[in-house]
Order: sequence, then C-alpha cells, then structure tokens
Amino acid sequence: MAQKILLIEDNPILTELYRSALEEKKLEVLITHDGEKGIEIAKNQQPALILLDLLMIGIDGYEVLKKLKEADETKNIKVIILSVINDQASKDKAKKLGASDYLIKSEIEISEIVRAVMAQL
Amino acid sequence: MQGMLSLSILVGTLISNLLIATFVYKNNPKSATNKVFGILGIIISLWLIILFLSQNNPDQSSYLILARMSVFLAAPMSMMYFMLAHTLPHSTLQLKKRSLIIMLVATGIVMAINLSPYTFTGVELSNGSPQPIVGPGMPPFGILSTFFSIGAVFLLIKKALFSSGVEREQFKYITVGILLMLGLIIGTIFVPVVIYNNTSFVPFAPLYTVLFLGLTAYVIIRHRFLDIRLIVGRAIAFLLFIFLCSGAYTIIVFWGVERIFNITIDTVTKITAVILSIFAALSFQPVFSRLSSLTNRIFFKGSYDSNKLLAELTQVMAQTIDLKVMTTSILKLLNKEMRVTKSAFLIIKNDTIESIINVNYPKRGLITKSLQEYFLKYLKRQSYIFEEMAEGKVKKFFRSFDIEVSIPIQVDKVNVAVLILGPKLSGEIYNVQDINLLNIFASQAGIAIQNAESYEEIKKFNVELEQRVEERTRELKESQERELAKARDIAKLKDEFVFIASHELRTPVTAIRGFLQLVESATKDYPPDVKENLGYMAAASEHLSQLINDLLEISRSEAGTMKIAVQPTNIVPIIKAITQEVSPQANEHKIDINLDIHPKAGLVLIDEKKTKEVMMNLLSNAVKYNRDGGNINISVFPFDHNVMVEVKDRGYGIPENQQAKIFEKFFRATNEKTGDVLGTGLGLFITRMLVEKMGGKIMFSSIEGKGSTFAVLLPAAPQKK
Repeated sequence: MAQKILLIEDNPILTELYRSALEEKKLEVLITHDGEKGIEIAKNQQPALILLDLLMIGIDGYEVLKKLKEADETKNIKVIILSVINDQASKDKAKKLGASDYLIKSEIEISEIVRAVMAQL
Repeated sequence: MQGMLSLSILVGTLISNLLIATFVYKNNPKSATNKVFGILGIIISLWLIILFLSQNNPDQSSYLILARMSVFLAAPMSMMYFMLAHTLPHSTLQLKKRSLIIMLVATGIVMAINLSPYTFTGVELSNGSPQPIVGPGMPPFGILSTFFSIGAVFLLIKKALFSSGVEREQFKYITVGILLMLGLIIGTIFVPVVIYNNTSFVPFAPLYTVLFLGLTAYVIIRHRFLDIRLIVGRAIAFLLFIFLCSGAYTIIVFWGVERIFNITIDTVTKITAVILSIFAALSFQPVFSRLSSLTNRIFFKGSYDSNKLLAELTQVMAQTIDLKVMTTSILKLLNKEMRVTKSAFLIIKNDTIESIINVNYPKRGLITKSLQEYFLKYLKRQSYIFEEMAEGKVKKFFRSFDIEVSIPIQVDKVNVAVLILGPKLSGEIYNVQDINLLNIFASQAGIAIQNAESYEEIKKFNVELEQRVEERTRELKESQERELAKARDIAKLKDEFVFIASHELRTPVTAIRGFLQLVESATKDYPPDVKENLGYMAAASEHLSQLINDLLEISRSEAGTMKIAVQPTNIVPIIKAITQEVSPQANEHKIDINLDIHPKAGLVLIDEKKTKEVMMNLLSNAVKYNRDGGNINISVFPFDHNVMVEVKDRGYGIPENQQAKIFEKFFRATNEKTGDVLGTGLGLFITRMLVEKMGGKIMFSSIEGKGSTFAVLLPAAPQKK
C-alpha cells in the first residue's frame, strides 16, 4: 500500500503541483486547504508525513502543528513546514513545535521538495 | 477342324450370353424384366450346349437323351421369351397370377412330355446322321412354343406400335434383334443347307443368339440402367480372363492327364470341364471385382469414382457458404467429373425461379417465361431424364433448351432448386451411376442451398443495416454540422452585436459620467437628497461603464481580436499600484492590506495592461467580499521558475457548492455580503481568460465564513545572466 502524504496548504495551484510530483513517486496524496480539516484527516488517515503551510486562511500553520503534536493519534506523524516565511524566528518556532523540516517555497524547486519528503519516509 | 471351330464358337457364345444375362440381372436384381432376362439367357446357353452335344455326338443312345433335353429346354425358353416380351420394360410382372399359373403348369406338363419317350420315340439314321423320330408328344410342345413365340412377337409389335419415346426405341431394338437372328439363321443356315447343301455356316448359329440377347440386353439397360459400354467392356475383359483360365485349365488338366495316364478324354467331358471351370472362376468374388476395376481402367478412362465425386461435392457444400460460389463450384465439378457440357441451378423461392446459376448454358438462354411455367407444371414434381421421356411437350422443351436431366432439389418437400444438366461431352446418355449419384447429391444439396440462402439474407440484411446506419450517421452529422454552423453563426452574431453595442454604448456613458462630474463639481451646496441621488447616479453610471468595458473585453477575446503582448515585466510595481488604487475603498471598510513581496520576485512574462486588470479584479473582489475590519494578504514570491501571486482575504468565503462556478460568465456568488456588492458577474471570467491568455494559471480555495485564497501563477521571464 502506498504511503500517504497529507498536504495542508491553501494555495490550490501549489497543492496540484506537489500532488503530481509526489504521485510520480507512488505516494498517495491527500489534500486540504483548511488547517482544521487537515488535523481531522491526519487523525483519521494516519498519513506518513504532512506538508504544512504556515500562512493560511482559517487557522495558521503553527496552530495546526501544535495541535498535531499535542494529539496522541498524530504526534508521531512527521511534519515538514513549507512556507514562504524565511526568518530564523519562524524556523525556531516550528522546530520547537515538532516540525521535522522547514522548507522555504521561494528557494526550492519541486524536485527538492520531493527529495525532502522521501528523506523523511 | 470344324469341330474345333464350332467348339470355340460355342464357348464364346456361352460366355457372352451368360455374361450378358448375369450383368443384366445384377444391374437391377429386383426388376422382373431383368430376372426374366437372366433366366432366359441361362436357358438359351444350356440349350446351346445340349444342341452342340447332340450334333457332335455320334453315339445314338446319348443322342436321343440330348434331343429330348433340347426340346425339354425349348419349352421354358419360349415361355421366358414370352414373359420377357410381356414384362418389358416394367420392373414387375405384368401377368395376372392365374395366367402365370396356367402358363407355368402348361410349360411344366410340356417339359415332362418332352423328356418322356412320347415326343421323341427313338432315333433313326438318315444320310449317316442320327434323326429323332417324332412321337405323339410333339403336338403339345408345338402348340405351346408356337403360342409363346407368336404371342411374344405380337406383344412386341403391339408395344412398339403403341409406345412412344424410349420404349418405342427399345421395342425397335428387340424387333431388330429377332429379325437379325431369324435373318441370319435363314441366310446362313437354312438357305445354304437346303439349297446348296452347304453346312459350313452351321457352327455359327449359336452366335446369332448372342446378337439377340445382346440387343435385348441393350434395350433393358438403356432404360436408364447401365451404359452398354460398361457391359461390353467388362464382357471383353471377362472373356480375356476366361480364355486364359480355360486355356490354362485345358492344357494342365487334359494335356497333363492324357500324357500321364495315357488316356484319351472325349470332347463332351472336356467341354463340361471347361464350362465348370468358367463358373468356378466367375463365382470367385475377388477375381470378379479385380477384373471389373481393371476393365474400368482400360475402357472407362473418362469414368469417375462416385464416392469420390460425392465426397468432393459434399466438401464444396460444407466449405462454401456463398450461394453463387457454392452452386457454381458444384456445377463446375459435375461438368468436369461427369463430363457434362453445360449445367445450371434454378434457385427457387416461393415456387418462383429467383435466379439461375449457370455454367456454359447461353447467358440468357434459360431465362424465359416458359421455364417458370414448366417448372411449376413439371420440373418441381419429379426428375426428368431426356432419354426416358415420352415424346411430348416436356421433351420438346428439353430438346429446345438442350436439357438432358432435370432433378428437383427439395427440403421438407419444399422446392429449393432444380439441377439441370445438358448433354454429356461424349454424347452418351446418363447412366445409372450418374443418376444414382445425382439423386444422392440432390438429397444433400437442398440443405446446403438453404443455408447459403439464409447466409445471403443475413449478408444482405447486414449490408442494408450498415447502409442505414451510415445514412443515419451522415444525416446526424449533417444536421449536427448544420446546428453547429448555426450556433457558430449565432454566436458570431451575438459577439458582433455585443461588440458593436458596447462600443456604441461607451460614448453616451462616458458623456453621462462626464456631465455628472461637471454637475457634482458645479456646486457644493446641493441639498442633501440631491447630493445622495447624484451619488447613486454616479455609481450606476460607473457600473454601466464597467459592464460595457467587460463586455468589450470578452467579445474581443472571443472574436480573437484581443491583443495580448507578453514581455518581461516587473510585476511588483503593478501590484503596488493596484494596491494603492484599491486602498481608499479598503480604508473605507477598515480593511488592512498586507503586501509581502519576495525580493527575488521580479520579471514575469506578462502583458502589463492585462495584468493590471487581473490584479484590479482580484483586489477589488478581495475588498468587496471582505468584512469590515478584515484584512487582505498579498504575497508575491518566486516558485520553481514561476512567480506566484497569492491574494488572501479573510472574508465571507464562497459556499462550497458554488465554488466550481465562480469563473463562469455572469456568475455571482450569493453569500451574506453579496447583496450589497455591485458587480457585473464578468470579473472573474475575464480574469481567468486573461491569465490563461498570458500562459498563466489561476485557482482558488475558499473556506466559507473564513475567506478565500486566489493564486495566480505566472511564468517568470528567463533570467539574464
């Protein structure tokens, strides 16, 4: 069975791009544009990994990460932050909350995102 | 010397006669005619032996017995002759039972008398040769044989006169046979002996019976039973064989025995032994059949193997399903194997000749009205063989069309076809082998022809169906094309109308707006209600002008006249300018606009004017559909060789069930805010149109009650090195 990757990202163009790249690696991709729904999906589907945006409408990524790491069902799921925010404070905050990796959208190609994902699996 | 000659003539005659008798009998053992003929042949042969023995035996005591034997045999001989004349050409005895019994009893009595001392009382010598002395038993024999002979001749003449067609021919042959026999006897025996006292032709007498029997056999056999050539051929083969056998037998037995035991065997014993050897040879089946096939091969090179031909015909019927191909192949095969000059199938449907499959018949030769008429009246009912037909309408018809055989082919008593065959290449008549084969074939052909016909029907139906489907498809396609053309015309017309209308509307609207501004600026002291109304007018005219611009944009794009010129352009100033532009409205609603521009987000391949329009649409929407005191986040950052522009509002969002439609023409989302918002419903449609024309991509996501994210991905300009 293919491993599940959950994308929590409100930009639908990005989720489509990530999805097609990850599906090439025979990964099952789940998508939501809503952080709250993302937490729910993570609990129900137990993905192997979560790619999480920080700046979203609805609850923001930090909040989602916090809730994921607090809940017993999801605390062991690895989370990679994928944000446009490029400062140390944000990175530290995310690490502190339990993110496995922190990627900056503007400085990365899709292939590198895929590589980062594969590295965590 | 003369003894040897007469002996060999006798032996030859006997063999011929017996062979003829056997063949005629074997040809159709169930037929009374053939039976009677067979018995007659045997009696004649026996009689000839007795006659020969009596003539060549100087011993007087045995001569008397032989003479009695000869008259003993002569009685049934004449009876059988009469019976033959009476029965011919039927296959059952035509005599009434009573007459038959009377005949048999009378003949039996005469035979008994003839064997008794009353017919020939003794032997006397006249001129050195023995002569029987006729007694009182002679008259009954005389009466009986005269009665039968005259009766037979009378019957034959009567039948010859009152019969027609083949039968008449048959009786002619028999009459010729009798006349030849009598004539030859008179000419070569009676006249020379009586007038010239020359007996040198006497030994030939038995041969004349061969003539008679041969011709009679021909008559019987010609009645469709067997080709005379077959008899002659086989007879010759048998003769050769028998001469070999008897020769070897004679040499080995008589010569050997005479030498070893130093005794002399008399002629009677020799003849008896030879005849016995012949019978023995004939009764040996392997020799018989071996000889038959050998003779066939020598004399009947053109003949065919019935079983093989039938197998081939069956194969053709089994392998081909196409009616025309199958029937033509069958005809060609028949023509080739049976050596028939021409042949045809009349294919029958509902008692009507539907088509004619024809090989070698003149192309239009068979197609006549009379054929149909003859089919209904005659051909469908039974087989016809030209040779056997009585002179008449049908025969005349057959002659005029060169038809020799016609066989109806039926399935469950329904006529399917008629097989018609022309004359044989050799000019021979159709023999029993041919007719048997054709009958077997006809019984099989019906089903095959019916199958082929069904196949033909299905094929025809299929073709028809295909044609109909094709026709309908074509019609559909044509109508579709018509509809499409019509739709295209209408769309074009509509586009033209919209374009022209928008253009024409723009001038007056611009004028209205201009004059409104003039009125507004003319004085600041309008009464409040007038000021309010002027504001409404300004908003309405603004809306109208926006609508006109949108319509123009769309019709230009759809007409393909929209000019889009992409070139490397820095998108940042555009976004900043638009943000500036919408900020008054945003401020009005206390909406905070955050701009987050990545330092590397720079040159993009876009049309500046169109990009401004896009950004204007997105930002004004973000303001319009936001809540008071809300915020808008705009971020621009490079992403994987593109530039991403995100516009996020924390407004009311778009209900999930409407999300799929928001890029459609004249769609306006309905949420709690939209009632207050003026819009054309064309904004997002135009936005997407423009983005896609520039090679970009636009998508959105929305959470009802929380806001929407619009993402626009634009291709980055290639980096200058």
